[in-house]
Amino acid sequence: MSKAAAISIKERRSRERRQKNIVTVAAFVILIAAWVIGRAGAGTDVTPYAADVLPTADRIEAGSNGLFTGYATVDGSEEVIGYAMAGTASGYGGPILMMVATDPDGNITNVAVVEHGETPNFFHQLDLQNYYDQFPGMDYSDALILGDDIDGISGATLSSEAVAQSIRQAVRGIGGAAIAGADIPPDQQPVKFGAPEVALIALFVVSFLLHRLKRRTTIKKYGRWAVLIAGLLTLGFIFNKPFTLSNVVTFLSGYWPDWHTNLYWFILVFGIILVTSIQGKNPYCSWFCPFGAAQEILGSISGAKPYQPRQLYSKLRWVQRALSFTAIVLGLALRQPGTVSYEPFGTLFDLQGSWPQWVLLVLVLFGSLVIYRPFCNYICPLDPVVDYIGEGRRWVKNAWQQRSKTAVSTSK
Amino acid sequence: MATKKQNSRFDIKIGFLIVYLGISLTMVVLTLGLALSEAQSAAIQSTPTLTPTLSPIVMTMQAEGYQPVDEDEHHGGGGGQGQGRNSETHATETAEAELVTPEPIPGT
Repeated sequence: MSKAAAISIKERRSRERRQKNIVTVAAFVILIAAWVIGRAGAGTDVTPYAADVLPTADRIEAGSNGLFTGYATVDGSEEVIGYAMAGTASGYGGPILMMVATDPDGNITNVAVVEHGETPNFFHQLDLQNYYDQFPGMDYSDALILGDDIDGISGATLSSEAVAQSIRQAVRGIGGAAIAGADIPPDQQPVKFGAPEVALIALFVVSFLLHRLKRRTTIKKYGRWAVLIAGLLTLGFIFNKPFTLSNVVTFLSGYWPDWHTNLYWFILVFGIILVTSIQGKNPYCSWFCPFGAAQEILGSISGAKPYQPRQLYSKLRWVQRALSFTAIVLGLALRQPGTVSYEPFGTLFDLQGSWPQWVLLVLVLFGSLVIYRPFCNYICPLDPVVDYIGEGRRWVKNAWQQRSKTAVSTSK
Repeated sequence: MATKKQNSRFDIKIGFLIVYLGISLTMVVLTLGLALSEAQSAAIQSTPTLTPTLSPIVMTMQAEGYQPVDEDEHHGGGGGQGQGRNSETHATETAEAELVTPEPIPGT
């Protein structure tokens, strides 16, 4: 190689590195801006909603403690006809804000959803399956816990849980603020640790151990298939709790759910970050992503091969990154984590989705018969996110090595 | 010749991939658009009350022995009407207005 050619390559690499740094900084600034915009726009004035839950009130008085008192005129004199208060709890896609009304004795008469960031198709199930009808008649002394005195909605368990929690907070708030002598029970949330959490931990542990196997390739190969199928069945069809963009936006926006009721969320999110940081390879996508498993099984039936045209692939990867980035920015700016989660996971595992998601699912499933994991390679918003964690690990490792080298040369 | 044929087949495969991904991306954009428009237009969802209740004003009107106040008398009435009387009249007016255009009562 001539000296001129070597300089040219060096210059090109240097230019590319500069461009990459500019893009990284710009992306970081945009993310921060989206976060700030979302934060500034968060917080809804619940006052107008008090009238919706107290429809018979002639006048509503707002108290300083968040209590709304509804009055109606009977025979020329005003009487208290009920109270209202807002309650909030984190669901699948951030906080759910509920407005609750009670009669003067503290019995729930009406509940209304003020704000939520859940995936619309799933959240709509609560309305369709008359979930809210369970609450009228209950009061501040009731547990209002899923599986205890409230039945959750299958496929929207986290949303059901958060709605119940918000209503509990509000009705107990009313009890404490307005009902004289109300005996409010202590708010004790049992830690929810069941089959989904056990399955998830088992998948993490088995995949981690198998990944570390260096020699026994046959065990590794069949073990991976076993883990893939287990992931497809448990995280996919049985529990429908795959890792989604909603988890990422919820994590970034700070809308972390209550760990007592959503321990699964913490194991999933922090498990991926932890294992990727330790072994330098994303454990989820290649080992137990249920949607990836579905594509891979279809591909293995038809003998699909990876198709990554050399020059085009890098450009298409940028399209995938841009798509993922746009969805995250929208989710942060609008504070709607569940809404921007465009993956058709729920469409496959719970048969819920908008019509474009159904079309996308059909395209992906048919495409999987021809190309190895087309969704993962070209469309999935999570692949760039998990890659970014791996990139961060490499950056920290390089910086650490550089620092160690400098320290050694200085001591010499 | 063989190389040319191979190149042409290669281009077709890339073409199919681009079309395939183009449709997929359109579906992603439509999914996001639909979800965001749904989220923006999400109206308040109110649930039915446990027991259908009528407005106290309507209940007053339905009460035994209730007599509506004469409209002319009310408008023509001058002094001599106390504070309570005024309040009652106001309530009657409201009740009449409600009878003309009744509000939908949740759960009924």
